[in-house]
Amino acid sequence: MSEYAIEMEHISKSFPGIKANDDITIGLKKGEIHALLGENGAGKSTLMSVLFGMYKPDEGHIKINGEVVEINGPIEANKHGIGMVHQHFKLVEVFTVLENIILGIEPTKFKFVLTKKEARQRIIGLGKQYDLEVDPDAKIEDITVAMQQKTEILKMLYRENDVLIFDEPTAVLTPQEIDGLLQVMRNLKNEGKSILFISHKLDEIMTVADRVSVLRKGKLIATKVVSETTKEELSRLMVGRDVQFSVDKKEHEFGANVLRVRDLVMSDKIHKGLNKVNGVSFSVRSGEIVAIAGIDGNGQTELVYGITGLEKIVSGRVAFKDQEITTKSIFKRNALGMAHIPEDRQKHGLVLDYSLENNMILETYWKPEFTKGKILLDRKKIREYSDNLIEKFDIRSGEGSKSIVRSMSGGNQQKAIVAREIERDPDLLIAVQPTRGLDVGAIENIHKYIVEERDKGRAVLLVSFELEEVLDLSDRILVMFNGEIVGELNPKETTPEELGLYMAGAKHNYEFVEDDPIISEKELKKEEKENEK
Amino acid sequence: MKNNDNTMTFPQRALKVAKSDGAIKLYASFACIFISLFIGFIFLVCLDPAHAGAEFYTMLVGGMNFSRLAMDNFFAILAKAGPLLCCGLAVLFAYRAGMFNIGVAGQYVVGVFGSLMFALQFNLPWYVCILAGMLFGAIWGAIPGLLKAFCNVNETLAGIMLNWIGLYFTNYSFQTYLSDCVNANDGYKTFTIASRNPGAAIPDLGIDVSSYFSISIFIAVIVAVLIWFIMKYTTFGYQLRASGLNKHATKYAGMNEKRNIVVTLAIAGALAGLGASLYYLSGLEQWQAQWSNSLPQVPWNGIVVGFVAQLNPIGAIFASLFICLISHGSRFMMQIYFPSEVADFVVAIIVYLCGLTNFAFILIQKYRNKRKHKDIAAPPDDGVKEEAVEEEKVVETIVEEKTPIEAGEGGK
Amino acid sequence: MGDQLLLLLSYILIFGIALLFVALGGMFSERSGVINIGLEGIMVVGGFVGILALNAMVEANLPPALVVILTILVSIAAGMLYSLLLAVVCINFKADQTLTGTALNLLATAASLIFAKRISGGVSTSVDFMKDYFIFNFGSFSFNIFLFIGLIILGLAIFVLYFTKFGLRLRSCGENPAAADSVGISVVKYRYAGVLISGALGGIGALAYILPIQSTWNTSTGVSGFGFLALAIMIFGQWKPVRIGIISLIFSFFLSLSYVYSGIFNAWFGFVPVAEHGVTSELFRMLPFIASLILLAFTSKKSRAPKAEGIPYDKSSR
Repeated sequence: MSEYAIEMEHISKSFPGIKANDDITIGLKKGEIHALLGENGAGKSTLMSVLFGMYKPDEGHIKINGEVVEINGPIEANKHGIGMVHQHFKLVEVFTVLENIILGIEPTKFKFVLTKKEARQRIIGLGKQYDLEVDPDAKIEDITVAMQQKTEILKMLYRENDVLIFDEPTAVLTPQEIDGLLQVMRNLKNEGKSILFISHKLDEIMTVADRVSVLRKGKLIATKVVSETTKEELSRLMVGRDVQFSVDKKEHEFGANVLRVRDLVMSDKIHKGLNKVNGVSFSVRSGEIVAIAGIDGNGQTELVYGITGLEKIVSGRVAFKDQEITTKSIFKRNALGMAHIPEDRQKHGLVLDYSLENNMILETYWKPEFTKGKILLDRKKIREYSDNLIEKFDIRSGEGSKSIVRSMSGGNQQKAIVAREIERDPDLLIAVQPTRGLDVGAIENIHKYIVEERDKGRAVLLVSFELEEVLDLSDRILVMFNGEIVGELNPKETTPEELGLYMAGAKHNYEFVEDDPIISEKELKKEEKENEK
Repeated sequence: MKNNDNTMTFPQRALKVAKSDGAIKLYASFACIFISLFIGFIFLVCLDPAHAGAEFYTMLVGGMNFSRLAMDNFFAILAKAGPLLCCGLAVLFAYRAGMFNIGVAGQYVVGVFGSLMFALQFNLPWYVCILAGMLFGAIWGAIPGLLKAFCNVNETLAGIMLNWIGLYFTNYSFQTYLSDCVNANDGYKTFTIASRNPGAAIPDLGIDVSSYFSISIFIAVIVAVLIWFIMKYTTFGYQLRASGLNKHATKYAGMNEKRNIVVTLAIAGALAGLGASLYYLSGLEQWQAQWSNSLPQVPWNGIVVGFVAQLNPIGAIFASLFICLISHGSRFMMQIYFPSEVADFVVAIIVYLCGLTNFAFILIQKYRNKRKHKDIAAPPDDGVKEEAVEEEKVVETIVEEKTPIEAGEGGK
Repeated sequence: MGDQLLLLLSYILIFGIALLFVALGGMFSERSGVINIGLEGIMVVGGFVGILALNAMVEANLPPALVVILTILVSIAAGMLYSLLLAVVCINFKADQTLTGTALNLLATAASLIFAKRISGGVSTSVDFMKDYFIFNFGSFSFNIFLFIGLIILGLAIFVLYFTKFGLRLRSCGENPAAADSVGISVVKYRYAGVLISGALGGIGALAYILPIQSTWNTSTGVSGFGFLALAIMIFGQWKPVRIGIISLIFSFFLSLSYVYSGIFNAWFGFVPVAEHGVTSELFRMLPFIASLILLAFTSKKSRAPKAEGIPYDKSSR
C-alpha cells in the first residue's frame, strides 16, 4: 500500500497563451491535512479541475493509492473516493438536509420507494462521529451557511469518500464557525480521512494543516512542513518578487475629498443573513489613486456595487464631491461625473451585440451632443465621437465604429471601456481589475491612462488583486479582508510580504478617523435653522 | 486591421453582405418557411396523394390570381396583412426589449372592444376609434409591464391570464352595457360598420378598386417603418434594444429599466390594439360576442410574423404578406379534399421551427467567432488566453458548474 | 332546488377532475424545469385521437371495458407523443419554451380541424361520439369513470413526487439542475420524464373534459382555454398536488356556475339573472384568471415556483 492517497505527478496544462499548470507534483499523504496556497490565478483551480477530470492534463498523471488512474469527470472521481466541498454549495434549497445528502444514491425499497429511516440514522451517526450535527429534517433554506457546509461535508462522508477537498471553505463563515470547521477537519483527519485544503488564509493553514504546497504563476514553488515554516516565509513564497512595471508618476499635493464612504454595509447575496461588506469607511481625494488590495471575494466587488449604485446598500452613507449619493440612482451618479470600469466587462460594461459606436455612448446617449431634439440619436456625431476614441486609444477591430463588440478581442473590448469612461472626463474613476486578462502592452497603456487621470487631478479608486499593480499605481493602499478594511499602507514604504500578511488576514490594524463627515442637504438645512435660532 | 469599405471590390463586398449576420437570419427564415412548406406538402400527400400536388399549388398561388376580375384577392390579402403586421410588430417590439409578449392576444381583444365601442356605441369617426383601440390595447399591455417592473411577475404568465380576462371582459361588455352594438338576429355578432356608422370604416380615399380596399395596409406599413425608425434612431429604441441584449449593462449605464419595461409593453399593446381596429373597422369580419371559447387567430399569427421576420419590423411586412397569401390561397383549395386550415398548419410548423433556427443561428455565430479568433492574433473575448489568466473564474464555471439559475429570474 | 344543486355538483366534479389531470400534468413538467404553455394543444391532440379511437372501437363492437381502457391509453399515448415535440426542442435544443408551447397550441388546433373536416367530408368541424361506456348512473346522479381515475392519479402524484426516488430527482432538476448534475443525475432524462408525464395527463384530461358532458365535440372551439386555466390552477396551487386538487375544485365551481348559474339563481333567489342584470357566464369564467393574476402580483417574491423552470440547463454555461 502506498503512503499517499493521491499523487499528482508532473502535471502540465496549457491554454493558448499561458501555462496554467507547469510541471506540478503534489502528493497527499493518507491521514494528513495538506494545504494548497496561492494567489488568484496561481493555478490551484486548474489543478483541481485536472484532478476531477474536467481538464485533461497535457502532461503528467494521477495516482490513487499508488496506482495510475484516469478520471473523466466528477462522478468518476467520486467513485475513486474523492469528494469536494465547493465554495458555492450544490444544494437544493427547498429540500431537507437528508434529501440533499441522499440525492443521487437514494436508498430505496423495490428500487423506487424512498426509505429514509436508515439514511437518517446513518447521518445522525456520522454527525456524532465527526462533530457535524445537523438536523436531517431541516430545510436547507432555513439553516445557516455553516450548517449548509456541514451538509456538504456529510454528503461526502455518506458517500464514503476518503479524500476530501475543501475549496476555500472558510470564505463564507464567521470566525466562530471557522473554528468549528477547523475542528471538524481535525476530527476527519483523526478518523483517517485525507484532506486537501485550498486557502488564502495563512492563520488557518498554520493552525490546521500538516503540510503546505505553495503555487505561484502555475508553478509549484515549494512544499513545506507547516511546523517548520513561518507565516512570513509562506507569504513571501506566495507573493514572490516580480518584474516591476515602471510608471511615471509626478509627486503632487492631493486636493479635497471627492469620494467619502462611511460605515458601508453590503449584504451577501448567496448566503442570507451574512454581510459581504461590514462597515467600511474611507475617503478618496482628488489627484489621488487609492487602491483596494485584497484577495478576490473579500467584499471588494460588493463595495464597488455599493458606491456605484449597482446594488442597494444595507446601511452606511456614500458622498460624491459635496453631495450625499447614498440613495441616488445610477443615472444621477453617472451624470454627476462618476465613471466605472466594471469588474465583469462582458456582463456590465458592454452590450456585446451592439456596435462599437453604440457601446461608446452607453451612459451618454442622452446628452445633447449625441442627440437631436432630445429624442433622436445623432448618428453622425456618434460616429465622429467613436472614430475619435478609436484613434486616440488605438482600439482595434474589424470594421471600426461599426464592428460588433462581440467579435473584438478581450483586450480591445477593455480598451473600449477604458476609453469610454475616461473620455467622459469624470471627477472620480472607479477601476476594478482594469487590466485583468490583458497582455503586457495593453496593461502598460491602461496604467498610463489611469495615471494621467490622477495627474489631471481626478480621484481614482482602483480595485485590484494584482500586487504589482497596486504597489505601482497607487498613492495609498487599503487592504480588504473579510468585508473589512484591515490596513492602510503607503506603497513606497510597504513590501509585498507585508501586504501579503494583511491580505491573508494575518495582520489587522486600521482605525478610520473621521475628518470630513457626510452631511446631507436636509441635515445642513436643519443645522442652519438651529443656528438661526 | 481596419477594413475600408471603399477599397473592397464588388464581389468582396457582396460576399461580405452574404456572410453578415443579417443575411444568415434571412437564410434561416427562408429555410424555416421552405421546410415547413415541405412538411405541409408531405402531410397533404399522406392525407390524399391524388390531390395533394394540385391543391398545394393552389394554396401557394391561389391568392395570386390578380386578373382584373379577381382584384378582390389582391386587396383581401392586403387588408388582412395590415392587422397581422401590427400584431407581429407588437410581438417583436417587446421581444427586442427581452420580453415575450404572449399577451398580444388579450391586447388585441380589448383593442376590438375599444374600437367597436367607439364606432358602434358612440358613433365616432374612424381615427377616434383607432385611437380608442390603441388606448385599450396599451392599457392591457401596461398591466403586465407594471406587474413585471414592480412585482417581479413573469410577463408571460401575466399575459396568459390577461388574454382570457380580456376575452371574457370584452364579451361580457358586448352582452351587457354595450348590447346595442350586437345584432341578435345575426348570431350575436356586432353590427357591421357600414350599416351603423360608415364614418368609422377605414377610408379608401375614394379609390373604388375593390370592396376590400382601404388605407389600412398603408397605415400598418407606415407604423412598421416607424417602429423600425424608433428602434434604430431614437434614444428610447437604443435603450430598449440594449436592455433586450444585456440587462446588466443597461443597469450599469443607469437606464431606467422599470419605466422602459412599462412603456415598451404599453406600446406593444397599442400596436396590437391598432391591429384589432384595422381588422374590425375595415369590415373584414364582425366580432362574435356570444361564445367566449377561443381567442382570435390573428394575434397568434402575429407571434409567427414576429419570429419569421427575425424580429425585424421591415421583415415583418413581408412575413405578414406571405402568411396572408397562403391563408388566403388555402381558401381556393377544394375543401372536400383539404380544408383551408392547412395554411394554419403550415404557419404553426413555421413558428415551431423558428425556435430551432434561433438555436442554429447561435451555433453558426459561435462557430464563426471561433474561426475569426483564430485569424487574428489578439486574445479573444470568450476564449482562450483570458480563460487561462482568469483561471479562477473558469474553475468557478467548471468545478462548480455555475448555472444561469444563480443569475436567473426571480420567478413569479 | 336539490336538482339544481346536484347538477352544479356533477358539473363541479366533471370539470374539477379534468382540470386536476391537466394541472397535475403542468406541475410535473414545471417541477422538472420546463414550462409547458402547450398544454392546451396537448389536450386537443389527446382528446381528438382518443375520440377517433373510441369511435373506431365502438364501431368494431369491442367489449365496453376494453373500449374504455384502450381509449384512455390511446389518449395518453397521443398526448405523450405530442409533448415530445416540446421536449425535443426545449430540452435538447434549448429553444424558447413559450414560443414552442405556442406553436404546439396552434399546430394542434389546425391539425384537429383539418382531420375533423376531412372526416365529415368538408362540412363540419364537429366529431360525434358515444360516451355511454364512461358514465355510470346512480339514480339521478351520474358519475364518470374519470372521477375514480382522477382520485387515483392525485394519490399517485403525491406518492411519486414526495415518496419515490424518481420524484426526488425530478424536483431537484427543477430546483437546482447543477446540484442534480453534480451527483450524477441526468437532467435531460428527468426533464423529458416531466414533459412526457404532462403529455399523458393532458391527454387523459382532455377525455375527462370532452366525454362526460356532450356527445359531440366541436374542434373549432378546441378546449376553450382549459389548458390555460389548468396553468392558473397550478400557479394558485403553488406547484403542490394536494393544493392543486383543492384549487381545481374551487376553480371548477366558478366554471360550472358559468354553465348553470341561471338555474341556481332561480332556485335560490327566485329570479333568473340575464344580461340586462349585468350577469353573464363570462363573469364567472373571468374570476379564476383574475384571482390568479392578483395572486401572482402579491406572491411573486416568495413564490414556490421551481427555481430553475423555464431556463434551459446548459452544463457549460457561466
